[in-house]
Amino acid sequence: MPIQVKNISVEFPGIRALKGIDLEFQDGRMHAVLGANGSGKSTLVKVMTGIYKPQLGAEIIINGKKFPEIKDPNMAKKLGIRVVHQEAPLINSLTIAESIAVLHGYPKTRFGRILWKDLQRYSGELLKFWDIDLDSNMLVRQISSSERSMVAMATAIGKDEELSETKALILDEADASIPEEEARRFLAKARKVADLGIPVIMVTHRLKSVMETCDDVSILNDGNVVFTGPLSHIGPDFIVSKMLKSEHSIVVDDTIGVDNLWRAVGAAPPVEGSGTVLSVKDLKSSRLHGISFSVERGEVLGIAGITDSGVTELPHILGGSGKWESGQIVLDGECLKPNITPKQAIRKGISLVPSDRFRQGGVMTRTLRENMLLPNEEKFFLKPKKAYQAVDVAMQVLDVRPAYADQQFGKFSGGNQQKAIVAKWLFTCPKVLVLDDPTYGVDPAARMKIFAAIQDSARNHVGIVVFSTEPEQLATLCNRVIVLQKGVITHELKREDGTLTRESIARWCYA
Amino acid sequence: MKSKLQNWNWKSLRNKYGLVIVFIAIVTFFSVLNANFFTLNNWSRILIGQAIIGSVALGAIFILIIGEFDMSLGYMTALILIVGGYLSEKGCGTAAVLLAMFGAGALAGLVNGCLIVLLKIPNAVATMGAGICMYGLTLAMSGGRVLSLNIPKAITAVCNYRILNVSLPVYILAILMAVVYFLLEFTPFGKRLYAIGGNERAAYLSGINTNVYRILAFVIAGMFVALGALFILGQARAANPQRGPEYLMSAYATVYLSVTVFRPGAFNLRGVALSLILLGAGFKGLSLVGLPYWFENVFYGIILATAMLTANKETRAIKAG
Repeated sequence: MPIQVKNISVEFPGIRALKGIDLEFQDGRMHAVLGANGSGKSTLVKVMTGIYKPQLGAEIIINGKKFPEIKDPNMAKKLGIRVVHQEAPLINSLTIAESIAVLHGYPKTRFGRILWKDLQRYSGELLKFWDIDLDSNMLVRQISSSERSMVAMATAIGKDEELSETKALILDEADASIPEEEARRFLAKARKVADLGIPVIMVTHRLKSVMETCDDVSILNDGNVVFTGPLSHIGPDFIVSKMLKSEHSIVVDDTIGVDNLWRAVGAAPPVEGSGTVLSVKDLKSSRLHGISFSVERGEVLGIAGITDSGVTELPHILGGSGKWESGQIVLDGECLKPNITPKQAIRKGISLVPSDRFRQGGVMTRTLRENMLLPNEEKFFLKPKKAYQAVDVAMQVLDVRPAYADQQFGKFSGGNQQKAIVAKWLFTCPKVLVLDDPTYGVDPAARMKIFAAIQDSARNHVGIVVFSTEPEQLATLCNRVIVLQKGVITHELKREDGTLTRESIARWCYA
Repeated sequence: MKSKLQNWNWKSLRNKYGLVIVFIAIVTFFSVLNANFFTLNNWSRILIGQAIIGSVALGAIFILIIGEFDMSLGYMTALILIVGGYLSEKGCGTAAVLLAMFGAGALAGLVNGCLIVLLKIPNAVATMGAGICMYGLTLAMSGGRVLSLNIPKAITAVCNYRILNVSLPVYILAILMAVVYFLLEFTPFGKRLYAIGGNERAAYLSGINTNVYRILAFVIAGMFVALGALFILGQARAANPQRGPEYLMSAYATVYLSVTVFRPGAFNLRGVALSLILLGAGFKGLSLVGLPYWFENVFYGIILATAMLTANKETRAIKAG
């Protein structure tokens, strides 16, 4: 029986994540759900697995029965929806058999003693059923990432009668952390599930694997379904063009006055003039295999790439918190040492706005004021009035609401937190500002302000490096974009010669 | 100033000052019940009784602020006390005894800090191990005896000298509390400690040398424990190897109680000061109306649990080391 979802709407404060979408997933077919970050695809998965609830009027049809919502993950499980997530939930220190038992329940005697022999037999049979050539006594940490995902999938679905209960398999970016070649083995297993007549829903960023393995595709854009249908008639260029956001969704307003922030902390605005401010020569690390680029004063350089291309590592290396093996980073004529710390990097004039607000960006339990001035605390020792004035300026320039400097940081909305974090790093008066996906999970209005702040800083001669997973963002912001693939720079797109467009970035990234 | 505006409603008042009301209620209650409660004599006894717990609590707050936990503070008190008694019996002078006690405190803190920060051993395990070692050393140095010979006159005199019927340690502690209050609330040092406790990674990326600050917090804690040990030595005029461990729980209880008042959800020094007096007054009141000595511990536990139960969600979510 095919699975249908009808009229699914999900709303978060400030964002409509899904705007009444209808989709159908056919039996025995692999159905890719594609979309840029923030398009709503992970929201859709969360609706189908009972984590988010859709608004009234929604219908989810499974096995011929209609449901207005899936109440919780337990109900999703009972309805036969099986999910494999990006990080397979296996425990490193246990054996495969034990991990299977953790997810599946231990076979026990009447008195609660674990029947190890039964568990061994079951695990062995399960692995054999799915053609996974592993010994169930191996420790999970000994197996590769694709094998982990395969075991997780086998455990999620089970065999024999459990298999007949499975109505749908959702692969929620399950291949994202697996190297491409190995991912192919994993996807072949997923194909086997589809061949048993089960609809397989695959959420992924990898266009190439979609083209190779899937039958149908649905493309989400800004909470709407912009295309759904068989993959046989369309090509990757068509898909990429559908994934891009509509043209008018990004407008950057004029000068917002970031130089006021520098004045508020008593620093001189950055040196005028042009010339190279940052140059990276033959940089090598565990994921980067010799990359070189440079940034001019007042330039906005974009760096694009998918997860395993090195784009997660490079921003931290530039910000002083990552390790590199060889090569040179020259900041304003000065060579940086390989054992540099963020403290020294900030002092020398290169600051990183990290991507993960919760883990790396903010101290949620402290106030907005303390967060904004954390790298600058010594400048405000015994000058509380000056500190509040500086924070007031930043809240005005970046439009942080509500304008309560003493409110706990965690109580602000995501967009306002991110604006405050951008302000925090602007306060360090950097020569080079590195931003790692600065608008991830941020509402459109806040996104606009952050873009304006970036462009205004560039106008004030700060060299900017923006990492982003959204091509349209880079196309709007940057003068130049370099594309990373598997740790090397494969393309350089420039605004002057017309190669820098949303489509070109997207094509090179996803291809 | 717009940015300083806060909602002044009943709920936020109750969250911030609830414990103050409890304090006033306790004082009124016992004052009515027993005429001897609201007298200068009684209050000086309350304050003197809390001076030692207060010193150890001053150390404990540094450790809790950075999001760690130190199980060894009690045994550390015992060890430093015995170091003082041992050197006194060997005939060392005031300066040498003081130096050795504070040195021992700093060293013990340094060891704990290095075990946790540099060797990355989980804090409870590292300090439990260190604490057991300290207990062993305490027994070795004392031989199980109470060391009471030759305690330097200067120490006993200072610890028992009274101004306005209150002994000097109370004043010393009050001054140090003011200093620590200033340090935690108004200096970059304090803000950084709080930031490390809230999110160590974010603090590190913000240019804070988190390892140094974390080790330093343990060293400072060790020094305050040494101060507590010094007060015991001076007040008791002897070093009893049995004393020390009982201060671990009461010091932590005091600091945990502080998260329910003034700045809900954060360990704060004004809260520690209030909790110290509240717990001291409550216990004294109970003993004046005739409850047995063991009730002190029950009272501590009840107050802590009730305060946490009535606190708001953020307060209860406080990280326990």
